[in-house]
Amino acid sequence: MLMDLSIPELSKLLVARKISSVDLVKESYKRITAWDGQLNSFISLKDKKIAIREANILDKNRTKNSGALYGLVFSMKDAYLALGTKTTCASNMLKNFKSPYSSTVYQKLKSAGAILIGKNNLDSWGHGGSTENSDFGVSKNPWDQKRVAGGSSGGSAIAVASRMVNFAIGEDTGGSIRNPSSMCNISGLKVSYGRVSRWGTIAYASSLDTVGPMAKSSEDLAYVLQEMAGADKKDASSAQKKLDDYISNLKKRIKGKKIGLAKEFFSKNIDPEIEKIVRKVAERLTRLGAEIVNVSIPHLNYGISIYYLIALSETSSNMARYDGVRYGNKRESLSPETIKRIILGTYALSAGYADKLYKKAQKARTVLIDEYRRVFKKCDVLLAPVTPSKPAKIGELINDPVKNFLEDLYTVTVNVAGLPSLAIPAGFTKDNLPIGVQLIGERFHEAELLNIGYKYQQNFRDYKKIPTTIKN
Amino acid sequence: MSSQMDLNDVEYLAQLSKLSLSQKQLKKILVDLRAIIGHMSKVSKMKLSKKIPRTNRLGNEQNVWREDVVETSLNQEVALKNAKRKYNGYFVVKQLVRKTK
Repeated sequence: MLMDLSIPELSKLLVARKISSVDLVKESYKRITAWDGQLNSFISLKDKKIAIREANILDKNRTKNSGALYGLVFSMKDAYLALGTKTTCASNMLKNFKSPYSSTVYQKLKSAGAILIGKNNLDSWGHGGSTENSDFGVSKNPWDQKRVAGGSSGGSAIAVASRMVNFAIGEDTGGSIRNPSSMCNISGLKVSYGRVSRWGTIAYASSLDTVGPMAKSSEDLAYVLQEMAGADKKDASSAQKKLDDYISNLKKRIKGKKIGLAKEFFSKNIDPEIEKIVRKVAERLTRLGAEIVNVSIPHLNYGISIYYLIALSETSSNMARYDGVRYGNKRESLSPETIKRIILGTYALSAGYADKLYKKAQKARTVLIDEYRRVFKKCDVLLAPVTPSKPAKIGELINDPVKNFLEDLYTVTVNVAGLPSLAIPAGFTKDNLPIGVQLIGERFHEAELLNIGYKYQQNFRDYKKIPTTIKN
Repeated sequence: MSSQMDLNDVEYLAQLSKLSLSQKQLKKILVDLRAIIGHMSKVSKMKLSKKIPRTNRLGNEQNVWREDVVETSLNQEVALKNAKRKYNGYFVVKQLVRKTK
């Protein structure tokens, strides 16, 4: 199966003209036709004939110098504008909305020669961690279809896990790339705030939103990040900081790297099976020459409160633009989960509460940022679980609002501090459900995370496993 | 709002959020809010010195400017494409000001 090969492997075969982009497109549609009816990864799909025509042109124009993504197939979370495509954000509010312009990330990938074949399902507006809060139906985990695929970028994770695309683009505000990556056995990178332009992305919480790649391995992520990252004059919050060479950095030695384990990441809520897997990864990293350092982030347990106060305040403000006048339907077409989040945000910002809640959360945010800064004086990266529980049964989380919130404990503080975090496959539970871990780094240290991820994946190959039910 | 949120509070918040919701919807939201708000407000228990600054953004340390040059933006036709109601190249909105006799 071509879709199982890595980006550099495919690129080599394409340049040598041993395979063509048309072959890739055909295989991609074949897999989508076979599995998407059950898994519900896509909200919209490009007409196959148009995709083949695009691939044909790319095949004709390919040269020896064509880049690694030239002629590869990808999909995007349906929160990104791509001129002419429908962009629904998985909400009935935008079910007929046609993108009037393109997001920077789409433009960059298109100029690199990548072929967008469709847009993926999500929790509408990014509001959720299970892709159940979608007006376009629940997405299902390819490892066990009775369970959720994680979220909010659930559809994108499924598309990669079931080899429908070569890579996908997700969005992470509080864990939305890492959580479904972990639950579907793929690799996903939440970038540092500002590393990738947010222009043309539908906003959830503007001071937390990040645009990142999802792929089979850390190696593939490096190739995609290299093309999509960088400053953008259309996004004033994008960082001017020079890009690293993510690809050549992959092969650096990791001997002597200090891996931090913060005790707060192993709280009483964690499933013992997950804790065991994270500790196994720590032990494996020491076998590769890394050292383990015990550290502490004392206010991590306030993370849920800090994150939700900030995220929901920002979302209530961002969502105010949807008035149904310039585009979209009435506000009442929003899902119950989104309505609840807007109301909670309005509460945190309302007179008499803003000082006690929203402004206090902004102060606490400073405290958390400082605690992370201090930790990185003692270690190079942190190793942590992604979620406290394995993928939930469909319906379990959406009916338990408190559990639903607490599921995000290990991911949200990374967004609050604006740090990068790489989620990689780490093992399986007794009932064969995938579990991932995250490596959290200092701001703009994506290259270091991908380097460690690559070295790990060269030696431990959990990321190669795909669900037996959808192998062929 | 009192310490224990009630239906009037939710109705008021919905109104501030420009959402017209049924009594049934409001009641369901109240149940969820009561369950969540304690967890969400945990931060109010943190003891923080007055000197700690608020972080409201991450990223560039300085203001970001661009040259003051007019660039092309969406034209009127494209900008109106997704609007349900338009007239003569404009969005149609509900009448806000009424003539008095």
